[in-house]
Parts: sequence; C-alpha cells; structure tokens
Amino acid sequence: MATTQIAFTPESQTAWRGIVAKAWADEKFKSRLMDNPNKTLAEAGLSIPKGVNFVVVENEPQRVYLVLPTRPEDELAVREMNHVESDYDPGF
Amino acid sequence: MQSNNSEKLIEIEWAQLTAETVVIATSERAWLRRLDAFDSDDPFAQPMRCVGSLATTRNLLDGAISAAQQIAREAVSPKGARPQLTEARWVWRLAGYYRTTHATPRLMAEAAERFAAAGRHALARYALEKVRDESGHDELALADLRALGYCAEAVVVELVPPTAEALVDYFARGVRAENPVGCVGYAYALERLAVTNGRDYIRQVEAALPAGVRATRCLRVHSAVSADAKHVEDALEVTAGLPAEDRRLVARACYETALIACSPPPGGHIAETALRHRVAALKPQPSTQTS
Repeated sequence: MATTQIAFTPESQTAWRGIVAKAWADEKFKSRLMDNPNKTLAEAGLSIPKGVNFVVVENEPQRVYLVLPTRPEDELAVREMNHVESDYDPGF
Repeated sequence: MQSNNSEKLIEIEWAQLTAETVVIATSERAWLRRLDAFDSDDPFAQPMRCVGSLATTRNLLDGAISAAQQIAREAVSPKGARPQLTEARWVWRLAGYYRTTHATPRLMAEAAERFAAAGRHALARYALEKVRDESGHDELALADLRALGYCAEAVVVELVPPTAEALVDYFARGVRAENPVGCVGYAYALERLAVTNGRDYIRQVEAALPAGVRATRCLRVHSAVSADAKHVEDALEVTAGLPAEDRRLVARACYETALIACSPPPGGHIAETALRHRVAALKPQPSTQTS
C-alpha cells in the first residue's frame, strides 16, 4: 500500500469543503490558493504531506477538468492466491 | 456527463472494504486503492450502481480476499508465522475444521429462511443447497481425529481454535444482520481459500502424520481435489446476478472473512509444547494387561 498517498478522512473532506466555500466568496484567497496551494492549504489547517505538491484548478461551465485518480500501486493477485499464514485450514 | 452507449462501457465493479480502501475490479485484474483525500469527485468513493458480470464479480471477490491476505501477511511477526505441521498441530487444525463445518448447515438453514421470508428466492435456493452440500462435513473431522487415536468428541470440546471460533461468530452475525447476504461472501471466501490447498499440501499433512494413518478426509473435501471448486463457481454465479449493493456486501464479507482466516490469532499461535501437552490428554492410552 502506498504510504505517500493522502489518507481519506472525513475531517480533511470537511476542511476542503470549507476552503472551496471561502474561495467562492474571496477572490484574493482563491488567487493565493491557485498560485501557492501548499502554503494556502496549510494555512487553512490542512496537514500537507512531505514531498506532495498540490495543484488547484477551477472548473468552469465550458471547461471541465476530469481528474484521473492516482494509479494504485497494488495490483492484487486474483489468479494465484498464496497459502495462508494462519494456523487454520479453511473449511466451510 | 452521461454515457450514451451502454455497449461501449468498460465493465468494472468496486467495493469499499474499509473507511479508506476500495477494491476495484475489471474482467482482467483487480487493484487495492486508497481513496484520495481531496478528490470529492473520486469515482470510487461513490457506491457502485452498475450490474455485475461473472468476470468482474470474480475479480471483485478474489481481489477482496487477496487484499485481506496482503494485510494479514504484512501483520505477521516471527511469532505469528504459520507453525510447522506436526501430529498435534493437525489435531488442532481438525478441531478448527470441526468448529466451522459444524456451524455451516445450521446457520445456512437460518439464512435460507430469512431469504425466503424476504422473497429472495435465488438466495434461499443457494443457502438450502449449501445446507445439503455441507451437511456431515463435521463428521469427517471427527473421523480423522478417531483415525489418529483421539477421543474425537473430547477434542472438539477441549480445543477451540480462536480463528475458527471468530469465523463462526462472524458467520452468525452475518446471517442475523439486517441483510444476510454477507453469508454468501463468507461461504465464497472459505471455499475459495480451501481450493488453494492442493495435492502438495495434502502430501505435506500426510508426511507429518504416523505412516498408514488416514486422517485427511476433511482436508480433501475442502481442497482443490474436491467439489469446493464447483461451489466457488456456484457462489460466484449467484453473486454476479445480485444488485450492486448486495455485491458490495458480499465483497466486504469476503474481505472480512479472509482477514480473520488468514491472520494469526491476536495472542499468537499456541506453542507446540503446550499443544502437545493438551492433545496428549485427549488420546486414550491402551489399557495395560496385568496378570
């Protein structure tokens, strides 16, 4: 499992929603957020993981960004499964 | 944005396994993914609503099991590594087999009643078929214990492996949940894991037992050389035809079942010396003739 990927938490989602609302209401804040995302997000209370650079873009009615989610590092073995490590042999 | 040609859609299924992780399956592969924190439009943070197919549902369920195995492996300390097979260890494993196989017919019958009462006839038929398929498998574990010279009934009372006990508790909770469909995931996970045991493993077990003793009946029935491979396909077929929310619950049950089955018990494995001491007391000694 990737350790650099940012954890999904209800708290970070709530914080991000607040930042979105503030950017809608405050053009100067929006400019700062788009020009210097890491600093502005940190000032707004978000914890910025080391080595991660945020890019903030804005959707418009005639220009919509589709974001490809981070490609998972872990492809799961679905053809050949390993024998389990537990002291139990599965019996249904 | 709308899709306008369902024939061109790429088949995909996904299910959230924990608060942060989701298993994503296509007909070719499966991934385990952490949800992105700030992407409110993350397509995999939303519950799936699409229909299933045999190929994608298979990878969804197998991916959920594989994710659990991966997490269980990462958690294994030297203390938690799978203990070496010995006769005493096999007695312990047979006690585990007994515990889970003994519970299956009773709990699946209960699930069948609940499915029938809810008008879910395909699931009720599946559950009743499981009652028929699995009845008597606990007797195989008892027969194996007797073949090893143990008082089988005493063994299964005295030895209660925590993993098997946790599995039965999980199964019972699933059957009595608001929607009991998780019991299909429990069955799929255990039968899918069982078919990872093939002839090599059966030979390893036999090599650990006294020569000439036939004490692998229960293992054979729960292995790649049995009908369990067909049972896996039966569960898959039933699941692929279920609504999306049910498939999500089945996938989650696969994950949670496999996590219990594949993880060492929280207190670590019972040590060989302690185990030998406990099983020795359960083997009747031949009476000595006195003149």
